[in-house]
Amino acid sequence: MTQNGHPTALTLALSAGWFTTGALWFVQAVVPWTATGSLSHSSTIDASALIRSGDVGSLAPTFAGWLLLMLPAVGLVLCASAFSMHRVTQAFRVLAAVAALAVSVALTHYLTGFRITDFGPGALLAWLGCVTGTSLLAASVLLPSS
Amino acid sequence: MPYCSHCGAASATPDQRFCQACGKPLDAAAAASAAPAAPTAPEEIDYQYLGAPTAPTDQPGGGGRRLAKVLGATAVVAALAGGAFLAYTVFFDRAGAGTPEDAVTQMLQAVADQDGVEALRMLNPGETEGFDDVYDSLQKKVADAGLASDADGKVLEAVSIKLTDLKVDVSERGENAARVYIKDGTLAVTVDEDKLPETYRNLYDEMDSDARDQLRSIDISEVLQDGFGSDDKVFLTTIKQDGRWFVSPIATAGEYILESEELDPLTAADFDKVSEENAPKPRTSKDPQGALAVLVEAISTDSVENIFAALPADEVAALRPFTDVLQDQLDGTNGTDLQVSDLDTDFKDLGDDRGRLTIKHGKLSGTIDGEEGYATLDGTCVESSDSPQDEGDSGTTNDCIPDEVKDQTGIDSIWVILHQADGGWQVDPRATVIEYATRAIDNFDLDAFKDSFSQGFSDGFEEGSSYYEGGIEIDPDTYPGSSPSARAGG
Repeated sequence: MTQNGHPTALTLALSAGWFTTGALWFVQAVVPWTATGSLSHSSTIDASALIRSGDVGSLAPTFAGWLLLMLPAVGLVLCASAFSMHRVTQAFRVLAAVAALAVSVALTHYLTGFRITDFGPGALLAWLGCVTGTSLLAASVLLPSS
Repeated sequence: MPYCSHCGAASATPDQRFCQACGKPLDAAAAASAAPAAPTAPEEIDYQYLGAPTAPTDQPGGGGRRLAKVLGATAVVAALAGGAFLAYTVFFDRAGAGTPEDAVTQMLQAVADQDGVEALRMLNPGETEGFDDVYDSLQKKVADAGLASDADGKVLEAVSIKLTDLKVDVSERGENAARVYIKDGTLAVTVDEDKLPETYRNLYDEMDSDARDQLRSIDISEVLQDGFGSDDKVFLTTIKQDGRWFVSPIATAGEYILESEELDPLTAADFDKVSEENAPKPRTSKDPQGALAVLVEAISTDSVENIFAALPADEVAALRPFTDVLQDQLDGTNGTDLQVSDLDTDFKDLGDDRGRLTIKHGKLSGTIDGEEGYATLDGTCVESSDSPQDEGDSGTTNDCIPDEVKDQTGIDSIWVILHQADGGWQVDPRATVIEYATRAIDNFDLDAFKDSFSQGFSDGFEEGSSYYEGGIEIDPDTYPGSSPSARAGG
């Protein structure tokens, strides 16, 4: 995927893909997550703030508020390192994809019960990010450079 | 082959002085050098894929590297901007809304869509803190009793409510408060019978089809006209805290009370007092055991300001606008002078600057509105009289919490919740109410209630006995054939 050590069009396309994936995981945190019920008018960042304030301490522990910030934070790191091909970056992408999948599954189960009609913009973006992320991981394994 | 250090394009000849692609002068050293080799030293951001190179593409290598650097730098800047935004939301929570009407509409929409997070964010935080305990207990109890749609206790999962075309009107109450009237809108309630717990399904089956149709489209303006004769009767009061607008249940209740007393809220309530700048200095006790005495002492000053100062500031913030009208009410009495004595208490630290003060024994004496009174608390019994000489005599009344109430609620002692403020302790009425409510809900036997409720419904109503419909008592003697059983039987 490089030409004499220089990034090729494919390399840049994959990097742009990782930037997009990171952006999706970040943006899902600032838009309503579901179409109805909890987080249909609020975002996971709003929920995080409410949980961290302790106002719903009996419903969700404070650390859950910090956990909700994990996915957007991971997304930002992915964006920042999208055009890096360092070995550490590659490893981080694998971990990020696994973490994002876990968070998306947990949130989707808790908030929508996996009913597609209850998916809001946040859920759709998070899952789109998961699809692009895992596709990019697969591409990096299957393409000749790897 | 030499490459341009500006755009990365390959030069046609080694002695070429200007780049044919970008026209910039070719650096002698750079131009003389060979094509860029794979980096030998690790870079902070390495733009090279590891592994064997693939077949060359049409893209010039140097140009791609330059483009990648530009894109990489752009990505880092974008990520930093996103990080700044994330940090801002973490450290500066923007609960509430920018305008009073937004606070009300967003809260009502959230309630209709069952988004508790958004609804809570639109409510004044000082008035809602701790109610999650009550909600949590209630949810668990309902789920345990099989009255919920699922194991998580989501009672309303089977019910879908849509609020559309909501129209509100704002009436300002100074800089820090506004009354928001609900004017119009459409409420549509649909029920998924399959998701309804069995208990509710029976009730829903009993509903006639007209009632179900009505639920599907409720015109709010019609309801307001029918129920209140006007569309300027239903409102929510919002208050401004730290530059954001919140719905205030206490201020709303206060304004309704003023209206019912035929007092003009515009003159009776001073919403500029909502601002914390005007908050009085807290009156506290150094030790938890003295907190009750501090509150009683504040009450005895007959000053609303002093009473508010003896209570948690965030709880009384929404009451402050009504200070003058409350003071007028207090001034109209013959005064209060109370003392607490012989206190025997037990204090338990609950963490988070809270504690429970259990009152095992204590005496309260003095005058309320000029009337002398004496009360002695012993365990869960209160002995009261209007003179100290009556103690133990026939003029003394003795009231205890009945054993069945203790069993049903688990409340087997009298306590107050204290809260730490300004280095001392204060009685926290909201936390106290929440603690009693939570304990009562946790211990309440909902299964027995549910069984008797279901039994009562399935048995119908005895012929000739009154029953309630829409909150109105219906007497079958007056309206023959109107009872549910009569209708069911044709």
